[in-house]
Order: sequence, then structure tokens, then C-alpha cells
Amino acid sequence: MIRAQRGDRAAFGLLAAEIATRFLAVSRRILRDIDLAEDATQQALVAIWRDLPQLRDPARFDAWSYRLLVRACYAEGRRSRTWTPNLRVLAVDEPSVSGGLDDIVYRDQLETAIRRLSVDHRTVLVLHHYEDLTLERVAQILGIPLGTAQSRLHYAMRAMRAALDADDRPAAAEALR
Amino acid sequence: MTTERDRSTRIVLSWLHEDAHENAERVLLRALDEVDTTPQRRSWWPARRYSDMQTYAKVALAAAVAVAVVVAAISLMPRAPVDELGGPGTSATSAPPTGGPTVLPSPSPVVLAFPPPGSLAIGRHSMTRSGIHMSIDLATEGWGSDGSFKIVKNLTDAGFIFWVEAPDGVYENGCPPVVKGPESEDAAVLAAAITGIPGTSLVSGPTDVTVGGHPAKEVVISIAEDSPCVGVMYLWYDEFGGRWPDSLGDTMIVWIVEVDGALVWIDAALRKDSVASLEQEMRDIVASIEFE
Repeated sequence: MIRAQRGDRAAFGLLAAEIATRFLAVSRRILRDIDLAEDATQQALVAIWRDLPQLRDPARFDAWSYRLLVRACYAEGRRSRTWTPNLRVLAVDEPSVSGGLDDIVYRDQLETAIRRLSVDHRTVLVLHHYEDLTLERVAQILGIPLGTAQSRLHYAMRAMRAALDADDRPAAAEALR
Repeated sequence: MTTERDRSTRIVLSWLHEDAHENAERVLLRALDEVDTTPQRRSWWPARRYSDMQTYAKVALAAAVAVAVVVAAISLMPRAPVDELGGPGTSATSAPPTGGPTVLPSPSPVVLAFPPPGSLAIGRHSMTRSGIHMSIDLATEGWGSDGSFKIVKNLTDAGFIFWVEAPDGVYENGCPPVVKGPESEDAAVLAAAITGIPGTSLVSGPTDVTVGGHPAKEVVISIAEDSPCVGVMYLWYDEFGGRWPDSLGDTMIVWIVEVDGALVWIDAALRKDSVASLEQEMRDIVASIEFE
């Protein structure tokens, strides 16, 4: 990282390779669109390169880089609202860990539910439950009070659970059996 | 009920962790291509090797002048959302993005995140930091913006700098291993802390002044040419890092302005070989600040 801070592009390439997959996974789950996620990841990586000399404490790299990624996701999220009123469905190549036809129904309902959430809510949900960051850490990355992060997570999880509890889910699941 | 809730939660979390087989190779290659043509933002502290200092001095001398001013918005309210921090805005009033200084008619004030990169026309320029709208009046040509957080004189590396992240406090010891002073949102406390940074000497202050019609504290310090720090020296810090001087021997003027319950932090660095008139030019710019 020190070499990258000093302008060593090869060193930055190694650093970027370490984080690119994780960044793409996070941004894809926030934005629900692979093209937007790739653009956000690219933006974030370039921003990291550009601003890396200004990062004083290497120990803060993770939080700092997450913040740039989230910022890029917000930018792409705004762009998607302007240009693409209907996002494409997130492709899932493999069955879920539990498998079964029920999961197809679950996934559709969950996908619909998460798309109804704002990027703010999705971001907290993904950083906490996918990246396993503490809410304190999430609040720090997003620059919001802890209470706000807690509130967003609560709202997001309630919405996701409500999607599973929808009246039509059992019927739909039954229809697929 | 609890069991059903737990089950729903497990399903949500399981779904969130489903493997979508992201392949980052393509985006990585695209990013690295862009990096090849993207310059890094220069750090504020030149490596303290003698040869580099000479190079830096040459640049400073060639540019004839070097003035640095930092403005940091310290919000006493919740921090600005991530997507509002930094980055250039867009404006029809800005100077051309590249090329030398150009004298143009004074533009109408337009609130921007920051003036876009390039030379800045004589006249008033607006910006927003942490939700605080402000503008400055440039009475002379030769100023340019980096589009993000600083404006520079004669396209050197120094100039007005608008801090992207708000300082939280001042270092009690800015030499590694650093020791942070307590965080504060009180202008008087921060101003007093500035006067005691090791490796600096107090020139004047803290002094009660007015900036843009708001009460402010002014402190002037000089950076020791024989700084006890090796390689790097820090002055004040925020969540992600710290501000450090551009070069040894700088004189730094700090204004901490109280604006409707929030603080706006301004600092300027004057090179030891800068022409004397630059300090007045810099002070004129600060005196021209208007909060909207």
C-alpha cells in the first residue's frame, strides 16, 4: 500500500486485485445490477488510486475504501434512477444453500422486496449482514449516527421478512410443488 | 412468533450470501486502464529528503508564489451523507478546465460542491461543504481549482484547500508515533490546541476576528525548519487521516469560524520564500467569504 501511495501502479494493481472481487460482490448486492455494480467498483478503484496519497493511516484503509465504494454505489444508484426505471434481475447461477423450489419463490420475493428499499437501507443491510461489519463500523463508514444505522437495518430486515410472510408465498410455493 | 421470525431472518441472510459468482477480472482491467491515465492527488507533505526539498523549492520559486489555505467544515450536526462529500460540481460560471489563468467577467454566484478543476476567473466562486454554502471573491488572476478540495495559486501544488473530511481534533504530538489530542467541536478549544503542536512555534493568537460576518478564532503558527519529526508530521486529524504541512518553514494561518452552530475551518500556508503581498492577497480572499 505504501508503494501504491507513492505512485507505484504495479503495486496498486496487486492491491486492487485483492479487493476487486469483494467490492463487486458488495456493490452488486447493493445495486442489484451487475453493470451498475461493475461501474461502481471501477469508480471506487480509480478513486482509491487517486486519493491514496491522502490516506494517512494505512490501518484505516478498509473503512476508507468501503466509504469510496459506497459513494460510488450512491452515484450509480442515482444514475440508475435516471436512466433505468426497471433494473434487471440479479442473476443467480447456483442454487441457494438450502436448495429446492421454495427458494425460487423466496428469491423472487426477496428480490422484489430489496429493490423496494432505498440504496441507504440496502447499504446498511449488505454491509452488516453480508460483510459482517458491526453497526458501529457501518455507521462510521457511512458517516451517520449509530441510531440511524440501527433504524435503517431494522426497517430493511422488517421489509425483507414481510416479503416472506406475504400471503401469496405459501400458495405460490405450493403451486410449484 | 419468534421462531417464525428467526426462520425468516435465516432465509434472508442465506439469500444475501448466495454465491452470484462475481468475476471481477473485467472490471479490474478496466479500472487499471483508467488508473494508467489518472494522476494521483499529491500529498500535502513532500518527502523530507534534501533532494526532494530542493526540487520542491525549485517548483515554488518557478511559480514565484505559493499560498495554501485550507477550509474545513466541521459540522456540529450529523456529518454530511457520503454522497455529498467532495467532488467537483458543475457550473456554467467556471473557468475553462485547462490552460492558464484567464480574466473573465465576474461570474454570478452559484452554489457548487466545489469549483470545477482548472483556472478560476476573477470574481466570486461558490461552494458547499457539510451543508454550509459559502463563496469567495478572487480579485487577482492565477488561481486554479483541483476540483475537489483546494484552489491553488499559479497552478502550483499549494493554494486554498477545502478539506473533504472535517478535522476532529489537533495532534498533541504530530511526529510518529502520533498522539491525538481530544476531539472537540469548540472553536476556542481547537484554536488553543493549535498553539501547542510540537514542531511548530506560535506567531500570534488565538485572536478573536470576524469572517463573513461570523465570529472566528485566528491562530498563526510557523512550521519549524528543524522539525523533530522524521519523514512526516501531522497537525490536525479527522476520521481517516490528518493534515500535514506542505513544507518546512511554512507559516500557517488558521481561521475557525462559527457559522450557525457549525464550524468552518480555514487554513493557509505561506511559504517562507513567498512574496510578501501574498499574505495580504490570501487575507483578502478570506475577508471576502460570504456564507449564504
